[in-house]
Formats: sequence, structure tokens, C-alpha cells
Amino acid sequence: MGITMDAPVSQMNLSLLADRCTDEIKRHRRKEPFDDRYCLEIFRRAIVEHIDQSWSILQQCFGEIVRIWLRSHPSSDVALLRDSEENYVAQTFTRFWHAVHDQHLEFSTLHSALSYLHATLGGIIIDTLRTYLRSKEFSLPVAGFPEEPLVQEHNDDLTTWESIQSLLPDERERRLAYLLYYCGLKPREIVIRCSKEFDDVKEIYRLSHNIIERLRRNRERLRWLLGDEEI
Amino acid sequence: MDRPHALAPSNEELMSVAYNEGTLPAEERAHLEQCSICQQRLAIYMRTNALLRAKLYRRLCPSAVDLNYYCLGVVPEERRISIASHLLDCPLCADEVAEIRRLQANFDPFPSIPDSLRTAVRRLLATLVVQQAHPVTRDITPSAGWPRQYRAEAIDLSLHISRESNEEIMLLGIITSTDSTATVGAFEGVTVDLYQAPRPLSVQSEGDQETTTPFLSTQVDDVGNILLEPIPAGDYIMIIRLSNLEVVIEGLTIDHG
Repeated sequence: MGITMDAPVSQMNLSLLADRCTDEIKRHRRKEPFDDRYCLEIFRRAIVEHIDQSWSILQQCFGEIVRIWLRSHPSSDVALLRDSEENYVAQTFTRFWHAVHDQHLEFSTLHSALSYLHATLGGIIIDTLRTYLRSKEFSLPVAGFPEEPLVQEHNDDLTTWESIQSLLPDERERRLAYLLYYCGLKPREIVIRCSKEFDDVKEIYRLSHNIIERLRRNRERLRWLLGDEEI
Repeated sequence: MDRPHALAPSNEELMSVAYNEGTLPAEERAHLEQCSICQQRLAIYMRTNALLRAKLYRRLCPSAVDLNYYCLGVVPEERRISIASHLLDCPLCADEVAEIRRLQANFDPFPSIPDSLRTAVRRLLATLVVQQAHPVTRDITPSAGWPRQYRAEAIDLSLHISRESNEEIMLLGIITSTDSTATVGAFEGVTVDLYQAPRPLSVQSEGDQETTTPFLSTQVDDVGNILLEPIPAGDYIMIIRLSNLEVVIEGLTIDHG
């Protein structure tokens, strides 16, 4: 009667490790008892030891799971209109790779590693939708608006925002400007979403007028900040 | 002085128009059509609002990937404090974080495989092939680019919009196949979903509305007709859900003009 003894996980060759990992994933799916050491070892070799082949195996073993997460995400329908499944999966692994390196992360359980991978995918989906929304809803469509403001070359976003705020002496107007322009909310949305701060849409219209008047009184500075000649 | 003329709209009224949230009384609307000063006031509001939103919209928000890591508790201390502080100000990020936390709390690393993966439904983007010169139905709105003809493989789709007597807009379509073996009723019962083009997740989830909930749904009738109504002004995406194929039609802009 032969008994096969596996080598310690850390010494196991990669293809055997990959087989074990695939088996363990199937066990997880069937809700059977499992042993995470094989999967974790692939993560460790890929992330800590920087073994390229381990990284490829990791993507092979877990790519399908990422795809299932993507399909199960509440925004998947809209997200898949913006990019392909393949790109989302590829971006997820790339971003995951950079993040675990930047933060020097190691995972002690498979659940924690997959939670991190899942969080990466979730973030990428939302970032994709944000980018689409910005280009669709908040771009300047009319001819005569410069495509990209030169302002970005000498002003970072924080400076621009702080400078605009400095043109608004009233705290309430500054807050409203933030909600209107930075958050892109419309007045009625503000009343619904921030009712504790603003519960009267007419007040918002009035304050919006005041904000625009104040900004236009500083037109030269605003032009420089926003890089737009026609304000 | 709020109004340059007795019949001129007030600043508040004009601002509501600039945000497409209000309508003017008939007299003021008539005045606006005639008065270049009021037209300029409105144009300034619209232009300044559009410019500021274009330049500032969420420029300083943490990326959603960072928000996800923040919710997992794996960001460095300094970054954690900075994100926490931002969340106090930004309702959009605060809503995204609430949604992320909900998803993370329900995270199952090994979920059952969705039907859509098992059946491997293909998704195809329909191509706009022609914009016809003249409408087919009564009282078509003056929006540019309607009616339209789309094609996706063997599927032809003609779409046009029509205004009803109560000013509501309806979207009408007829779907046919260039496959000579397909019968006229081949598409009967096929679901057609109309989605609003993406808004912020936080806005979409308001009122327990899931992001994937269609704005309107209908089914193709026995001769291939599609009818969706009423449709407010806005940007939409249509998905025709065939058994093994989803046809996506993007860029449906409905303008009540």
C-alpha cells in the first residue's frame, strides 16, 4: 500500500501547487473542507518572491473568480458597456500587483487575499463609471471651450479649488459651491441629499446667483485659474 | 435689482432654468424669447455652471480603489485620516463608501456562477447606419438625428421618437432580421430595457434603486414593434435581450426641445 507524501508547500513545484490550488478552489465552491496553504503559497511566491511564473499561475487560478465577481457586481451591466471583461480582469490584477507592492502586504489567509483582490475590482468598476460620467456629463461640449485647460500645467487641482473658495467669503456659499461644482449636484439633488444643510431650493438658486456674481467680479483671476478665456 | 424688466424672470427663476429644473410662467417665457439681456443672463449662468463643473468635478476625490482599500482597513494611517476627512465633506464619496461597505460585508469569495456566465450571452454594440431625413409618425420632436437605423449582425432596428398630445415623449422602434429564414414574429416577447446613461453610483442607489434596474422595460410585440413611454429628456442606453445575444444601443439622447 503506497502512501504519497507531499513535499512541504514551500518546496512544492509550481505546477503541482497550481493543481492543488485548483482543487482547493473547487472544494471552496462545493463548500467542502479546504486547505488554503496551496493558494496562499502561490500568492506568496508571486508577491513576496516576485516569481513571474507564480504571478501567471495566480492569474490563471483566480482570473475566473474575478470574472464571476465582475458579473455579480451590482454595476456590472453598466460597467461592461464601458469596457470589456478581459480588460477589467487584467486591470484588477495589475492594480492589485502595484498595491500589494506599494503597501508591502502579505496575506495570512486566502480570504484576506481575495478580499483585497475583490476590493481592487470594485474600485476599478466605480472609477471607470466615474470617468465615463465626467466625460459624458461634465465635459464642455460646445465649440469654443478649450479641450484641456492649460491651467493644469501650472496649477494643481487643490490650488485651483482653494483659490476659487478664497473668492467666496461666505461659508455657506463655499459649501454650496462645493456641492454644485465639485460634487456636480443640481440644486434639487442637494435639497434631497443634503437636507440638513440646504432645505430650500430657492435659497440654493439665490446663493448660486451670488456665487456666480462674486466669481465674475474676479473674472481675470478666474480665467487664469480655469484656463478659459470666455468666462 | 433682481429683474431688469417687470416681466423678466428673477435670478432664482433663471437659475432654475439654467439647471433644467424649473419652467417659467408663460409671460416670462415669452419675455425671455424676446429679450437679449435676459438671454445673456441665462447664458452666463449656464456657461459658468458648466465651466466650473467641468473643471472641478471630483478633482480631489480619492480613487474608488483607494476607497475600497480604506473600507478594508489596509491604507496607511495618514491616508486613512485624509480619506476620513474627505468623507465628511463629500456626499458622493460617502455614498460610495456606504455601498462599498455593503458589498464587502456580503463578500463571498466563491459565489455561485451567475447564469449569464453559464449561458455565455454575447453582447454586441449596435451600429448606427443611417439617420433618416423625415419622421414617420405625428408631431415628431425637433431633436436632431431622429429617426435612426441601427444594425447588429443580422438585426435591423429602426428607432424614432414621437410627442404625444400631453407633451410626453415616446420612443418607438421596429426590429427586423435580415435573415430570410426568420419569421415576422421571431422577436415576439423579447425584453427591451432602457437605462439612463450612468449617473453617480450614489445618485443611482437613491431610493433603493439598484444601478442595474432599467428605467423602462417593454417587450417586442408580435410584428416586431417596440414602444417605450413616457421618456423624460436625457441620455439613455437600450439593451435588447435576445436568448443568446444582447444588443446594446448607446447614445440615445432624448431632447424635449
